[in-house]
Amino acid sequence: MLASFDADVFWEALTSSPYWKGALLALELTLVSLAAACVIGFFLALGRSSRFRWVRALVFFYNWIFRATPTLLQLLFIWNALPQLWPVFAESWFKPFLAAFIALALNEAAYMSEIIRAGLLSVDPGQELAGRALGMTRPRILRRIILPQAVRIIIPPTGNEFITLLKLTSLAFVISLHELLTAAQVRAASDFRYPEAYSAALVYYLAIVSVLMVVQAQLEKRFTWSSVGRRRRVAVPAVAHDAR
Amino acid sequence: MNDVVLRAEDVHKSYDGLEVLRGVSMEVGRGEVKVIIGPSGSGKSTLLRCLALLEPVDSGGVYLEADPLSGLREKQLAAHRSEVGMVFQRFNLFQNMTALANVMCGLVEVRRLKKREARERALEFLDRVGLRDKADNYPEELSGGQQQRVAIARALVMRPKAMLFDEPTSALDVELVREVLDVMEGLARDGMTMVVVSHELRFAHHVASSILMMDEGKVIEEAPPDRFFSSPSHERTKRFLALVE
Amino acid sequence: MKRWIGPLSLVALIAALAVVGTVGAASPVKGSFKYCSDPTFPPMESKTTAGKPVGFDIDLANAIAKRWKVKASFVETGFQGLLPGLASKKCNMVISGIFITPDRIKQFPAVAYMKTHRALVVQAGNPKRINGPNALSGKTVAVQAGTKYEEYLKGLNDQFKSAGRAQFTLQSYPGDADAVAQLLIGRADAVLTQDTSGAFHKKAHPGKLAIPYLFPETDTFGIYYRPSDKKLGTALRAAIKALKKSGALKKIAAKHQIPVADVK
Repeated sequence: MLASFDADVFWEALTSSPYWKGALLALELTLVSLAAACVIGFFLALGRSSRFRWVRALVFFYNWIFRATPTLLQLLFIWNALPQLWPVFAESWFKPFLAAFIALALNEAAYMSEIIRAGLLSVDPGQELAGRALGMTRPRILRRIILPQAVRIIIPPTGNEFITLLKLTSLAFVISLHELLTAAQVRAASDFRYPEAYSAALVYYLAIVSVLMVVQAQLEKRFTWSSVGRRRRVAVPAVAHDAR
Repeated sequence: MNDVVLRAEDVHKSYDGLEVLRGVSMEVGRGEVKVIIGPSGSGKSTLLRCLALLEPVDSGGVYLEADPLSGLREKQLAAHRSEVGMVFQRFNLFQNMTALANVMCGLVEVRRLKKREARERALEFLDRVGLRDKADNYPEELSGGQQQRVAIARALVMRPKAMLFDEPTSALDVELVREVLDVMEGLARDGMTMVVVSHELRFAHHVASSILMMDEGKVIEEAPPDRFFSSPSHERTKRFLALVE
Repeated sequence: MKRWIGPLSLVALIAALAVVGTVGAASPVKGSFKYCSDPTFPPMESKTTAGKPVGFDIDLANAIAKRWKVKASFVETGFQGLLPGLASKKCNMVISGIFITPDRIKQFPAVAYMKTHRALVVQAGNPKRINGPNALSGKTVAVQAGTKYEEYLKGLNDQFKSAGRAQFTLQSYPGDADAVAQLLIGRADAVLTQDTSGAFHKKAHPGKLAIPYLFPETDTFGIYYRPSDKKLGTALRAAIKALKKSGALKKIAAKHQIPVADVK
């Protein structure tokens, strides 16, 4: 069976412009969508513990709707249904990448909000108490004490979400976004070499996920607080005992 | 007469319908060390948190050097909080910062000092509690006693008008208690105004200006240590002392 | 014994002739055959609201099956998966309004059954004044992904680029109907598809669409089969020939409003 796998065709596909452009596009879409999702998700997570009931309700409904509907449906809704409601979305400025970004970011935000909320919950409440006792304001406490500790918990599940998002980008094929999977399909349609065309796409997906795994490991190391391996670079000034 | 640094006047506070403080009045003058003892549930920690402005009171007043502090808005309260240092039973050191960064935190974030100046001052105070060589260690690498001493340095570095201690040694292994009490005794000798909730009666006897007994949300007795321990007047005080000694 | 050979041989001969006579066309398949088709290309193949496949190709498949006295079984497959499905033996043949082209023929042989023109479809009233492929410069064009139409349009865009003219935005969608939908939504200015599909959609959305241009060259729809299935190929050719001769194909074309000349 392996005898019919043409390595030249595979290599040619792998190095062809639609493939690496498509891979770059998929990666780009994943990164911007995840970034936006983290920001939106952060505010959603904070909103869950707001003292205003309408804020809590809003967040609840947002999460409910965006987690319950399939991503494909959301993509199609934004691309096909929106223009029928507001014709401005049929104009040429509303490109497939933009539509996919909006759909994926909003969708992913609902999941990220739960991940971030879990991270915030995981921080010992005594940390905030000590910060307040020092006289720090709540936003400052969040930024300097709570968030860094929450991030440590948030990193592993976020790595998962990155991978999920990367695979979801292939859905944007239905709204005419020419990403990596499209390249593979077009390739296969033109010369019928299916194993080679699909394997080449597989290699790109693998490569991206592998890079993510390395980045994630590095990030996790950075958020491990240990004095091993860190030596102070600035000399400690000698201070006499009775100096005030 | 000493000027009064911290004062609580007829403070009432309830949690979820349960009244925890039922009209507590007390004051501590400059340089005084007041130790509060009492059974659990008597409201000692709650009183301390109200004095530290960490909790709002339902009625009554909290005064810092004659400034009324109940009813102030959050932003103004935050500023005053930095003038009252608080040390917690469970240390509550910031896990994502070294001991040095912990001590610097208040200076940089609240007093808005430049990092260099903050570092120098922080090192000085770490030195005072005997932990300068642990400046680059993270809390999880320190023993309980060391963590508590860093916590004390962190509060002290803000040059507070008063220091509050909420059962500072209760979470420590027995052999680590001494190092923390030594630091506290040093502070008292240097004239710091302190309010301490603690079960360490020998420390109280040695260092306190007066001892307060709390029970069921009220201060039922206050007296200088000698009188308090040798001839307590209240029945419940006698019973509690019998249990604890 | 010798007395019976004569009559016995005669009976055998008659029986053999009878057998040959009743099986009008020898069926190359036993009992049934499967055909892959993508039901997003009316009137060739599409689905009713109840989900049942209907169209010219379905009727054609059934007519062939009738001749062979077997059953035809519709295997729904996305357009891009049609020929892969044939290769992986998901089906015996592909009947899906798919052109015969040189590069496809290299991999799979095909039997021609219908001629057709490509067409440009636009919004009614032709607001963007598209009267031919050259007028597409600078517009937004939608097309079904993975088709020869898409290839042609990409080539056209390259031509515009080297001639220094504005290129058009090319959007590709899974189904032909999805591309036409973009016209109705107002996002696309034109769709390149077959005259069959154009006529169908024009009828389905009265007053909304127009066909301003028909390409003069014709394409041929073919039934694709695996090169190893030589017997199937021969049988298909014979079947198509017979259906054309008997006028059956004309009837099916008329039923779906396809110009009868196309199935000559």
